[in-house]
Amino acid sequence: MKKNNKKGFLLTEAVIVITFISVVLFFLFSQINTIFSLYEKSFNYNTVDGLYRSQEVKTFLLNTNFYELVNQLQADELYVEFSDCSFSNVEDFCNHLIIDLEIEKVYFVKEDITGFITYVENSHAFDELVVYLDYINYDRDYKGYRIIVEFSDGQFASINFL
Amino acid sequence: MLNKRGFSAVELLAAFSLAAIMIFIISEITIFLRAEYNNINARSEIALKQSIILHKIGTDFNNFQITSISACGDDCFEIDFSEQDMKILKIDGEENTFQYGNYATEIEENIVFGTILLENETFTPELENKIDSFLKIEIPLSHNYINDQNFDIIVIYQYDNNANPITFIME
Repeated sequence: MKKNNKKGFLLTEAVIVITFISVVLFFLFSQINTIFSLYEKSFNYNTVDGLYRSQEVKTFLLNTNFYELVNQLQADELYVEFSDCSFSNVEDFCNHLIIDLEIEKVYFVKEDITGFITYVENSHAFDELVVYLDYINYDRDYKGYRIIVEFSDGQFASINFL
Repeated sequence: MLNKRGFSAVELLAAFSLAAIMIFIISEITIFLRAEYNNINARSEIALKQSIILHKIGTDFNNFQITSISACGDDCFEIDFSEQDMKILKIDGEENTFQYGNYATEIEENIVFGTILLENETFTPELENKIDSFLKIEIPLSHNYINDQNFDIIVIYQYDNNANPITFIME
């Protein structure tokens, strides 16, 4: 019995302590990870800088080809990606603006982006965009439009047309 | 009896090993958290500075027409608006301050402002009475502790060069 008790100390007690510590460390890690991912989102999604630059794209569209984009969107249904400026009748201006604002992609979509989210989730080609779309607070009932802008430094921002 | 009260060598070894592993893991976590805290703190500090400056300049650029821009020294520009008073955009390297209009701020340690860049582009207009030009003001901004992120302030002013041209006096 004495021998058995001594073996029990090493095995059972050590296993209990290691398990307990592992659970605590895992819990700690998951909490820290959540906090840091929230911080990352706050630094990359809808920042003042990103929203300001998106506003410049919106100003440009309202002054040029907004209605052409609306028509194109209604034909294509889900989104129009126009960072190549091919739609624009002031293509040179548009290209310079996109480059100077350090924009990678611009998606013109309807305000209700439910369908766009489903498409993006199923296409597996927009890994980072998928995460950002969850972050957007959109109005399902509003019949307006929205631009979603992806910047070359990894930021995302979105602004709607009210 | 004495043996029962004490610890065996194996028990001590196991206890010390566990303690050593725990100390190692906790110290690693502490070092990591401290580095992350410093990094987040620095990013918050510079992002706040960037946002305030962008808001100050951006609000004017979105709401008023610029009529002229004149150089007033190194990293200093006087910006005239049609419906409000002239504002000075200036980085003072000697005083270590940034100024735009009535907003002035001391540049904190570890925050670095670069030279203000002005770029004006006019394109062939294909539509009448539409914007055909834009002015870009870029203020390079960085933090000594953050190397992987760009905090440059970029302000764009889009305008119709025929209807509302801007006069540039850079001498």
